[in-house]
Amino acid sequence: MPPLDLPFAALADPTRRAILARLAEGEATVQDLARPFAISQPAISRHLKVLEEAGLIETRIQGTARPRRLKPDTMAQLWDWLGQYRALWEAQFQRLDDLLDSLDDQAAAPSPDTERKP
Amino acid sequence: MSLDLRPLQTVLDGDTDIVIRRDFAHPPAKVWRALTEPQLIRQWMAIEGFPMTRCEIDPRVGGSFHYAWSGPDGNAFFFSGPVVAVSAPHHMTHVEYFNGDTSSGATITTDLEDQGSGTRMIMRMRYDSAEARAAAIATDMTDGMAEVYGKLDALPIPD
Repeated sequence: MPPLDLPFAALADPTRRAILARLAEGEATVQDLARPFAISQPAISRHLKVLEEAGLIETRIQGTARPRRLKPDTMAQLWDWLGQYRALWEAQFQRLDDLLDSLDDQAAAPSPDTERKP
Repeated sequence: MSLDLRPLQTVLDGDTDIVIRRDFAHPPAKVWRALTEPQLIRQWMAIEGFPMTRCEIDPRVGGSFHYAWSGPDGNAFFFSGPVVAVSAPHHMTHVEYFNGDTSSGATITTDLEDQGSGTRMIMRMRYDSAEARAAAIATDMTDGMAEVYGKLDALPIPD
């Protein structure tokens, strides 16, 4: 499986996406994260574990505190990948544009739109 | 990211859907032909280095389609499934299975709306679950389906 499979699977959950959104504002502890969500700290911890295993976040050790933060590398990787994916799809649509341009208009079924193009 | 001349909108909607919107400069009747006539489909669905080895579609309710590609390393794959609703030239719904795996498929609804003298295509791909959608995206199952996290707005990615 491609390495991005895990992050995408982790992102399938809306709570985990919300946690990521919160972490986008800055690092936060389990307590910080549990507050805005109507979820117990153990539940938050489980989500954090999934996110960490997916490489989306990392834990910083600061004395007894364990703030979590985004892992920029994975974010950048995801973004690059999405861009390539989008470009592929758009390339296919541009081929469709070219094909449509080359198609004979009268060969198409009659269209209710008889106006000329401005 | 390159600038799109004709913006492509792709959005993750809810937990299971991917919605793609694209405008074309030609009327729905013509776009419909490009989506339903195999000799035309081949011209725009071929992927660089992956020629289409099979391209069949019977765009009627009860009909089916089968699109297959093969790559340089014997990398072959196909999408196939039944056509479940048709209203030419504006609407088609079909179910899409990857490599014949009928245990998990996507239901694809394609709408071609009149947009001035052109067409607005809206394609909604609905997966069985959030996990199935994530897997489809991550394993290229959607074959070049671009992805932008509109509803998945929690992702802190630059625009």
